[in-house]
Amino acid sequence: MANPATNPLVACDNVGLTFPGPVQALDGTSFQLQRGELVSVVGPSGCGKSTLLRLIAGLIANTSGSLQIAGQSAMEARRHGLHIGFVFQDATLLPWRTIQDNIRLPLELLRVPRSEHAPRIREALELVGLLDFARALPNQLSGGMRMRAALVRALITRPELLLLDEPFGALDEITRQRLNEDLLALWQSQKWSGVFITHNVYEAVFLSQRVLVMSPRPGKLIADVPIPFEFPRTPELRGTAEFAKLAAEVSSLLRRISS
Amino acid sequence: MRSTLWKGIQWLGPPLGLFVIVLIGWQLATSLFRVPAYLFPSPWMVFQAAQEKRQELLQALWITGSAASLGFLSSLCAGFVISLAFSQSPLIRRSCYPYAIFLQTVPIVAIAPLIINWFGFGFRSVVIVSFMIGLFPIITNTTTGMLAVDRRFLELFEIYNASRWQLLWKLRVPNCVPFLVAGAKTSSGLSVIGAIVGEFFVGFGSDSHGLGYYIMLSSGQLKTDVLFAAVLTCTLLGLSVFVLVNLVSQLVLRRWNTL
Repeated sequence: MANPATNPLVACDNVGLTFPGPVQALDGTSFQLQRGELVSVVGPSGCGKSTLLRLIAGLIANTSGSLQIAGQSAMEARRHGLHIGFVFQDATLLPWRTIQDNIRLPLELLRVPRSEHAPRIREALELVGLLDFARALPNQLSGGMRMRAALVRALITRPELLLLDEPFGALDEITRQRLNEDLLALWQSQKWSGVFITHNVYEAVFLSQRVLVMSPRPGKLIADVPIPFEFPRTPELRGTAEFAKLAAEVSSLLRRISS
Repeated sequence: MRSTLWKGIQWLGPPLGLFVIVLIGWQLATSLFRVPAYLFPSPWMVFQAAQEKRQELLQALWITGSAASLGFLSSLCAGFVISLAFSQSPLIRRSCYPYAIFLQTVPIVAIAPLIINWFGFGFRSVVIVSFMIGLFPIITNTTTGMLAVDRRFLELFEIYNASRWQLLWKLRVPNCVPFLVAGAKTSSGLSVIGAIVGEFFVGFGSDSHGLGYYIMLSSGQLKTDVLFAAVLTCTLLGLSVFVLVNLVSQLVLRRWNTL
């Protein structure tokens, strides 16, 4: 047995998924996610990025290859107490629940004792500056605030693995950049491992330690670009020549596969 | 203040104006052409009959209103419970749905003798007819609402290994509320119709001299002015139920308006 500390948290080995039809959604995808690592996956829309994320979350099962999370299948890992957080493309807050009750939902579902709820929710709301909006309904908040609420809802269970499915795609550029910075700060203080799906190259380069590039139909990983910038990363990083060079490199990879 | 008054006039003005015009035309036509009162009484005669029979009509209104309310409330409760069962298994849905449709399509006249056999003439049977007519829209709407859950919400609950029970009470039931309210709107109107029609066929007990009974009675006696007065009272009942249910639905839906 290898030492679990050096074991990857997520190990995909030649993972494929074919829907009956047959439609091949994902073809022979292999990559590893180390504990504490933050990785982005970029690719054109419809390339199977979301499918890959749902496989890791154990929401769907792969039809070929092997996908292991902490040495178990994705579904087993989740059922055996590995905490996963999932952030959807839009906030996906229950419209009939207030912000604090939306953030409470994972605690309720995992049957965390009631007495622990209030301090944890308070802490979560403080973290993203939503304390004043605890009792607001989702439709009373802006898109960026809703996404912040969705972010801390995913983090309230203190997950080991955070999966983000193009979470900031619908936001304006300034809000998106601010949320990128918030997300990085949360990652540095809480030390979860993360897979971040996006089609925005700049976002991918800014956020992650590695950028995986995916080609469409069937989805396949074609490149693994390391991003060597130090943490903490500041907004100024976006203006540097090295940042532009890496972003251009990933962009040209993407252009090549879509032509 | 002035503007709300003006708005009120703009709202109520046209229908009230039309009402007055029709009333005057009706009065003129009946007196000009000397229409016999048993065929078509003038509005003034209807008004006089309503005044004269006020006591009886109010009594009848109370009885029919109670039967309709009881029928509506029981169809609301039963419909909700049946939908809970329907939401849990396609097998239950498939087995029971044809019978729910039967309930919807069978003419009350055809089963009135059965109802009389089982429950006798009177108030109880009227409530049962009202219940049967009001049930179907609740079942279809609520079942739809419980099943029409956004896929991402289902995934969110799956991520936290939600039990069937949690899925039902924390997701499906709150999600179906707007649908339930829509069903209740239809059903409340139908329950009033059900109570009146029920009184035609099964409402001859001494405890059920409701509006339907009055309509039948005065029709048989060619007291067309009383008949008209009874019909107007029915309209009043229907209208107040409509207004009441709409008010309640607006209160309830305030929280659901983003759906």
